[in-house]
Amino acid sequence: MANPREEEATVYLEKHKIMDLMENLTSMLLFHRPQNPREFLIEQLKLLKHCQQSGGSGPNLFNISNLDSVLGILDPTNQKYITFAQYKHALTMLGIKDFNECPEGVNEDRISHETFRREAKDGLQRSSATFAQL
Amino acid sequence: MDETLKPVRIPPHMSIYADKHNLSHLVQSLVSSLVVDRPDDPISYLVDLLQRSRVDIPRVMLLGPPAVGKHTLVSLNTPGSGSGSGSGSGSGSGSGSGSSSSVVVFQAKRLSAELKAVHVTMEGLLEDQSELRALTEQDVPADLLVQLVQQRLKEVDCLQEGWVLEGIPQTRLQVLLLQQVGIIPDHVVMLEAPEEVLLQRAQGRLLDSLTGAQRLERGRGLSEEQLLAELQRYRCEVTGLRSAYQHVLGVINADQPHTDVYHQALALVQTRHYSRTPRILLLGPPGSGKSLQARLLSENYKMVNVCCGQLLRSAAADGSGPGALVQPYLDDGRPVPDSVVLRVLEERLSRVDCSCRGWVLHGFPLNLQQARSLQETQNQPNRVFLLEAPDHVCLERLSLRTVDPLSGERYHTVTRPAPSAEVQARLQTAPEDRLEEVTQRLNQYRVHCAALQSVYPDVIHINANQNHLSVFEALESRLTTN
Repeated sequence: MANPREEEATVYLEKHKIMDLMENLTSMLLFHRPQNPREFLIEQLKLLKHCQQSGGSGPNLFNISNLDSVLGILDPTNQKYITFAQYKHALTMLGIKDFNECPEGVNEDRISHETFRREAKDGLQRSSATFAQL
Repeated sequence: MDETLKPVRIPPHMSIYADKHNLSHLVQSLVSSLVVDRPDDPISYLVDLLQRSRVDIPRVMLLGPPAVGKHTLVSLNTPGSGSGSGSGSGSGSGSGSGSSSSVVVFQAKRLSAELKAVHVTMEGLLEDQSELRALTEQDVPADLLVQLVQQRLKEVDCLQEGWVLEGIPQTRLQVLLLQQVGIIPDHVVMLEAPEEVLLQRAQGRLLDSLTGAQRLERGRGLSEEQLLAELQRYRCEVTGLRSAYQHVLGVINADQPHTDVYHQALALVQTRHYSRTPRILLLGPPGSGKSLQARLLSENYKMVNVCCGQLLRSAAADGSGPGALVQPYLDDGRPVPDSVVLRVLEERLSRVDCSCRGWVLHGFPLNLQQARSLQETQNQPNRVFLLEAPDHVCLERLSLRTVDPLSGERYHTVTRPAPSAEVQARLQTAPEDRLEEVTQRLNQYRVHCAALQSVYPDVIHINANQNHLSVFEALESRLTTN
């Protein structure tokens, strides 16, 4: 029997996506390993706040050039298409949840690079927007 | 990103960095403050929280029966205790208020000065509420009290410096209300003393009302019947209080000199339980029980047991990589040079199982040079224990060790003698356990001991001259505290 405070706490955590926020912050800390972790965190939080207000894209570990490298690994012969299984696996590896399971070209099992890039970019933006919509 | 799944390898830099800056503790405290306060704008709240000078403010509650010394302990601890402390310290020492009295009061003062925290007492809270002055402390309704406490603790000085609550809460109801509001202490120090001692203290306490020092006048102390009534009331509440705070509770016997109580309380309050990947180094003379303790630690806490001697032998048997270099030295019986040992060690300690589960190392370093080189690698220990035992104990433990070659069982002439005469006849002693060898190793150790300790200034001394289980308990208790 969860007491009301516990329920309030769970609701709050979900609404403001606190756990996702903490995950993102910690992974960025461990990747960049700054000398002064608290200042780094303050900076990242300010950036996030800014994008919450203006709607831009939040701080994230991956960027567009990383996507190109991923595509290069998945499609070494440069056929311009990847299979659905590869698409799904790659998006999960990047840490994107709830991505579009039926992108363009899924019926022929040929998903173009463009579609992949688009879906990945969308997904990354969503995963970095760890705040409740104002 | 192909179909074959490789295990995720977390580079050791990351766990070392996380340890160094205590990241898990930081994130944990951020999340717990968020959940307690539930601000509408968590991002700005977090920025605010991070900008404060310390995330780790002391949050201490000091409880005890009347006449046990809370007030003094708290107020000697507020710097410029007049300004910081909620109670006017002019009337402080002695019996400022009805129920909190000398020893608890005494200790509360000292603690808040040492910790540079704000000292909050019942009378301090009631000072501004003129209409409540008439009520004694017992009559203040619980929710009003909790509200006052909450207000006080939200003020900037408490948020910046931490707080020491003296004598609050006093009933289980107050505890529950405090918890609901989110006021949760990190440490609860409970002072205990037998009744006769309390009675004696209350009677003997005299107060000089002019200077606050304890001189000739009888203070505003409690009469004996009042004290007994207070004690009675306290005894009814204490089990409730104890069970409410059992996970952070520390009980100190107040029937000792003030300074002893103070030091114990301070040590208790300053222990912080950090969970971090253990990287333990066991130092000590041969025969002090390092291998045994390492084995116990690794069994109980799932860390990797790295025994330097065994590591070298297995690396040599492996025959590849750095191990190949070791073999010629082992064959000749010469000691392996430091650089080779370090390579083998580093390779072992950077593997995934060591960086994830932690390790306990023994048998290395043996001298100053080795210790310094170990500090320079990225595998520095974060806990160093020195198992101390006098020479004759080590000699006895080692030189009487024997092995039965048939069964492989190890015996010791004094502590674990062989079961029968024919086994006794078969027993052999290892060459390194002979008396001369052992004495030589002990002398070597003594020569390097002081130098080794200088490399690790916060080494923890454990008395190894006792039963191995007690040594293990002593180790365990110091494993996670600061």
